Amino acid sequence: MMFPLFLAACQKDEADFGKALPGVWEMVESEGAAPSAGLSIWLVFEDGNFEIYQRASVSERYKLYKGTYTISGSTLCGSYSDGTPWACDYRLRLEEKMLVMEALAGSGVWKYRKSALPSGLEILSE
Amino acid sequence: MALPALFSCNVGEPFSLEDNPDTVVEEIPKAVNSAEGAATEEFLIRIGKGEAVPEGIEAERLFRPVPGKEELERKHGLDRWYVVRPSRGMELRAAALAVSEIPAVESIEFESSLTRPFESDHLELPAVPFTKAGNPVTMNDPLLKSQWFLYNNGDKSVFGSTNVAGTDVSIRDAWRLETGDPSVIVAVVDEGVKYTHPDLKDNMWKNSGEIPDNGKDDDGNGYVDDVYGYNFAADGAISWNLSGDEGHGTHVAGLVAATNNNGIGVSSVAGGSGSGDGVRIMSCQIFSGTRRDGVAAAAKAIKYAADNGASVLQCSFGLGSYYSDKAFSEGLSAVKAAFDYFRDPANANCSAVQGNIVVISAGNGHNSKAEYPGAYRDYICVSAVSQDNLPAWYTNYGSGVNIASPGGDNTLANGLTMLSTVPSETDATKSDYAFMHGTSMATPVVSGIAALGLSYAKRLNRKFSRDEYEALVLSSVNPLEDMLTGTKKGPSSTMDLASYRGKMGTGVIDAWKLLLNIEGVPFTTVKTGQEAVVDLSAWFGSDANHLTWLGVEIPEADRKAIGLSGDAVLRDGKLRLTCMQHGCARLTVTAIAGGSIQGSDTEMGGKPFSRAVSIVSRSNVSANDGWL
Repeated sequence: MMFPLFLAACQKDEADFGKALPGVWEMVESEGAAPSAGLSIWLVFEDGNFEIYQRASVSERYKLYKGTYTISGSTLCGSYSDGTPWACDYRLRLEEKMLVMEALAGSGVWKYRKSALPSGLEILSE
Repeated sequence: MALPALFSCNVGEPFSLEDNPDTVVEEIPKAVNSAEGAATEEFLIRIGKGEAVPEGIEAERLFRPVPGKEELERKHGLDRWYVVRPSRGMELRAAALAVSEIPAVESIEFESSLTRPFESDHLELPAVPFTKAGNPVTMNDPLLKSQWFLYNNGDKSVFGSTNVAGTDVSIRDAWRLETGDPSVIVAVVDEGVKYTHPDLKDNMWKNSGEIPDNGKDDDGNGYVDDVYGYNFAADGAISWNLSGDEGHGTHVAGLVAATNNNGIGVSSVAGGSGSGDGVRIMSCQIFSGTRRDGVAAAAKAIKYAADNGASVLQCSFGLGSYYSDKAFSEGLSAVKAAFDYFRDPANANCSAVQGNIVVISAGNGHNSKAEYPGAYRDYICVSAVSQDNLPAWYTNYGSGVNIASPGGDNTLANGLTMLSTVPSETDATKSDYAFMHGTSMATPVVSGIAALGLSYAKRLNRKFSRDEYEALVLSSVNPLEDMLTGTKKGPSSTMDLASYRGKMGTGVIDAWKLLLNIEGVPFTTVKTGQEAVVDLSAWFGSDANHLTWLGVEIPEADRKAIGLSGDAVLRDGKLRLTCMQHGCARLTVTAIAGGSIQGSDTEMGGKPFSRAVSIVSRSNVSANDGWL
């Protein structure tokens, strides 16, 4: 009886991020605190490609970044389309439907909620 | 107090200084400038607050009042200015001396001359066929290929051996986002604009309150038949083909808003997409034929522009010889009052900006300081570069200059300068298009870009204070400083380019960068807990490392949000700061546009401008500020 329970506990902790990650995520917590007023981050993951929409103030437009990512177990890493690597790799976990990304280098922790991109998102021209 | 002997409406007793040599008139009390070289036989007076014009003086209000604007006019003292016309036979200085004795008269100003900093080149248009590489632009105007300042692919066969690719204002990229808005009006304060020109007529402002040519002031604004603007020099209909006219106003107007994509003629910065959507030109004529025109015409024109909807004042002219802001303010106080009125936020004519923008040429004296009024610290003062991406040989530079812009250089091989519209009546070959060069041409390129930016800001529903918008214009530039080494051959001497360093303003205007700046500059990320070095060129232009910085302001709440340790330090175009906490902050950084000192009453200098910089402090940062 204990063995199946033990197995069930492993499955709960190690989500299949290949299936759980794709989609749109809105940042709801940044390093332990709610995002500063105006700071808005949207992550979009699909088939190894990502998009980030980010801005720091409601008076600004979003800057769009694109690139590719890979998942190995619960480790997420990636690089931007201009060749710049991400700031670090991230360990992923799910907490009550929230995606938690923890920096593998350093101490940052960010939480995201599954969502949908708002329509009419204003993006900076390139 | 009456002075019938001097000023009655009947013919007064003639008075001549030659017949009365003992009359001492070297110094006219209350005169702010000298009568020597006065442009006209009239002079201006300002009466004291609450005073009335004395009887017996033939004087009329300099600034025509506009119903509903009385309070604003009083705020700037416009209600206290009068033009005095001495009776026939009365000498100017003697008349002014007599008026100076009237207690109600506060000051007297003789009319300084207006000068036009340009030269006509009258060159044949080159018979160069389109090449595939030479016409990758979106507009179908056939003469665009000869407008290197709009798009320059480096073709030396067209633009000369010194031509440098990319020495243009990036208008093709800007046109992707914006080509103009007909509600944005640029007042061309200059010779009259030929409003029937085939490549201008569709972008002329039209006063919908006026019925053309009926001899009546239908809209009650004080001017008769002012359909496309007004002729303040001759107090009547706009003209452009009198003896002495050079087509200057029409050329300037074409650089701003010649109709784009209409299959004829030239293109322009903000002339629209071909769908009638260019910005509009208002002709505020202050030069007419061979008349020697003075400041009264300019002052009236500037007020008219404010009262009738202009949000950009395009001024390619100089006024007198002044060497400080204080001297200009005091010596040309009527026109200064008009400029203040135009810029007053209460007179804002574009919903995107709280106040109107003044853009003025630096002058063509190849002097190391700009001429006034452009040099005054409030206005955007424009110097000229050529297609070799270097200062034009003629441009004024140094104190008072805020920004550079293409103005052409007639001495470079092929000599192709700035192609735009002209009245065929004034052109030697009877063409509708001609080349000219000068800071007169560089300035409307900036005015047009400012108007294009206002059009885009309106489209995005962005709103700026006047100072914010001017800062966006001044920081939307391409680099120039690092090219200022060695020498360049001028027509009569060799230019030492190092002597231009720090003296051409913030850089060379770029339309694409202005539109991006209007959209907003994305935040930059810094790593918490260690000193970060933020490159400010994204906010202040590519030559940020050459600017002089005045300081950085951080609201206390923002300082706490990022746990700022110590002060943020500005040096060499970079901001150095240490954030001890994860969070966001918005800092205001201020620099000087042009030179190392701010313009003040006593010293010519640059114009301070500020930008808001968003910083996000976090434990991990990527090299390109991407969030992950």
